[in-house]
Amino acid sequence: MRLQSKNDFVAGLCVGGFGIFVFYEASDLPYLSEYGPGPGLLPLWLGIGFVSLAAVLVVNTLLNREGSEQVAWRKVRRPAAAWIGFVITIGLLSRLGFTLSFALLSLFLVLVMERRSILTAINVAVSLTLAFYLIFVFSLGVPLPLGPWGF
Amino acid sequence: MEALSDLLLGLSVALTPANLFWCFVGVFLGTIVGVLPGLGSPATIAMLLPLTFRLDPTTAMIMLSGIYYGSKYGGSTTSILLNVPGESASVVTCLDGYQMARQGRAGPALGIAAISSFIAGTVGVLGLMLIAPPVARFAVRFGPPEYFALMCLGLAMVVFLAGKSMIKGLIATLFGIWLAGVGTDIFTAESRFTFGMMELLDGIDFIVVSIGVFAVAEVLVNLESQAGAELFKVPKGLRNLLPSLQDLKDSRFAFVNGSVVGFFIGVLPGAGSTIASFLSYGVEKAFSRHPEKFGTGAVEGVAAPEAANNSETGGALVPLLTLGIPGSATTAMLLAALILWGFRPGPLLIQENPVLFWGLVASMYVGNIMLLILNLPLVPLFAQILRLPYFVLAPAILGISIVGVYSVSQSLFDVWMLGVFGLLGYLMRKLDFPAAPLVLGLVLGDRLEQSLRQALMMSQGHLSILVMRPMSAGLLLLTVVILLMPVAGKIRSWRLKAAEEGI
Repeated sequence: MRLQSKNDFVAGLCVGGFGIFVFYEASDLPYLSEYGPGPGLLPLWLGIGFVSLAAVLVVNTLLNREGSEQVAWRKVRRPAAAWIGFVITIGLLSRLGFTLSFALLSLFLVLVMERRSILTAINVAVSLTLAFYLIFVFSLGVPLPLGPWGF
Repeated sequence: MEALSDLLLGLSVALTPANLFWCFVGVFLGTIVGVLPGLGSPATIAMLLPLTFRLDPTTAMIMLSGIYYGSKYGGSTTSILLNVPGESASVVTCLDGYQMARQGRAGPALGIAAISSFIAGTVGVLGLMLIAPPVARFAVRFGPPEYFALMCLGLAMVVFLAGKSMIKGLIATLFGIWLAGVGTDIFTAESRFTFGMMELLDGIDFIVVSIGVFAVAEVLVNLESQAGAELFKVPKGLRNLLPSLQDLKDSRFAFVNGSVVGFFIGVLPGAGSTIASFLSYGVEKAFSRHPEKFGTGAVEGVAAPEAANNSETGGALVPLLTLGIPGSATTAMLLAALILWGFRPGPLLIQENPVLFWGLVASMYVGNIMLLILNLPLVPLFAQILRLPYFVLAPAILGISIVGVYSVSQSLFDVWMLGVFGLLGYLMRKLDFPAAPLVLGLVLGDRLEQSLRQALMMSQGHLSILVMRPMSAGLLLLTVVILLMPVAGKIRSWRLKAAEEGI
């Protein structure tokens, strides 16, 4: 059988698996408590809902009734690199502070992702970091993570 | 006639130079707070409250309320320009507002948001002035079964947000409701789905999820190909940067719909502007002649939720001032301020303190005019932001996302969660799962569960309580009708197809 949308089939299986996990976890929580319905009531039914909807999605895909376009996974490389850069920036926040981490993220996005010149990258990183510092830290007093240098 | 003379009394209070000045300070601060995601009006009012003790209480109340409704004007700006919702009610504005911006219509989108905010804000104040006491009495009859039914009605809006696949829309909604349940159960103090992490005991803030699945995911999608000079078109000339007469004509029903829905939802304590904006969007799409345009940059899709969001302010002040019941974090701060100044918000507040009540009402008319004058000239200026090349905008959006999330709770864990939800939002986009129903489920899920459990406690476990009370039965019936609409549509299209094949 040729699936119209392999992605929907896999997504359906993942949702189904997640539903079973929710159901399993919820069954450990009390369905009823001394005050009435317990904390397990809604999650249990949510788990059943997930599994039911996942089943409909998978069956629809098998019957070729429903299916989104195939995802061009080759295109995912660039966003994946950007996301990894973003996550590394989050990791650096506690060590370097917001200002320096954000400058590095800007530099990475402009220089590595967008392949602009080093001069453009430095220009964008410095300008944005300065603008963020002036607006959020200096003018509005928004508390942001600080680095060992106090900014 | 009596209302008119009371309003004149209010205007004599609101139009004094000092009150005008502080009203302007309030709406100006509110606009800034609204524009910047994460900096909510409750936190701003909390920070400024001690500073207002030197002011006359009426003046202070005028300023603090200005922050409240001013922040709602500004809330649409980042939603439209950057797909970054600053508050949960602005999520709906992202759907069509950001699409308008991508089509080079950021100016008209921002303009229509300001105009609908002005119209609905004024209608909300009119409602507060004319029908406050009877409406407030009606609102207190809303018990847990009615709230449960109302939340179901709000969740039924998934029908209008699901996009191509209803199944995927429903899965996203369930996931949102599940996320709302993460943390400590407020009835039994039992932790749920926290995976042993202390940080999850407080639950997951909607701002983390909505900025992740909308803003961060959008940046990732746009980075799939190397950005050219400009991703957005920004037309030249002031005329093209403001809404046209056609835009205003197209939005006329949305102004009315948003104003009415927003006010009545606002009156209900705890319902909030999010459900108001989602409901008005659903109503607008349901009655539209071209529902297929919603989500692709329909101007009504911006006007309706923005109107509802702003009209809700007037409605939310009704239970606060006439019954002393705050319906949201911001109105709770305003209640605290009133009590600190020695007022007793309740049925006698209007009679005992006419200067405060009518001065506040009149100042809201004045403040709405100030906001329109302040915001409309800013539209062309804000639209220019999109002239920046995307390699500048992308780090700026990610930076704003981090600041927005971190400023809410100063938690690095939340910023990590932002990364997780950014990735989830991207995968959802790739697999055609709509993001708006997820946020809808997240925002309404908590209240849905609470009201269901309270209702079942009231009835000792009998579900019949949900359908035995006329108001909840009516709302649930409406929910079922809305949920069956796509099925009816499918049956109609099958019959048409069968008839065509028969020919």
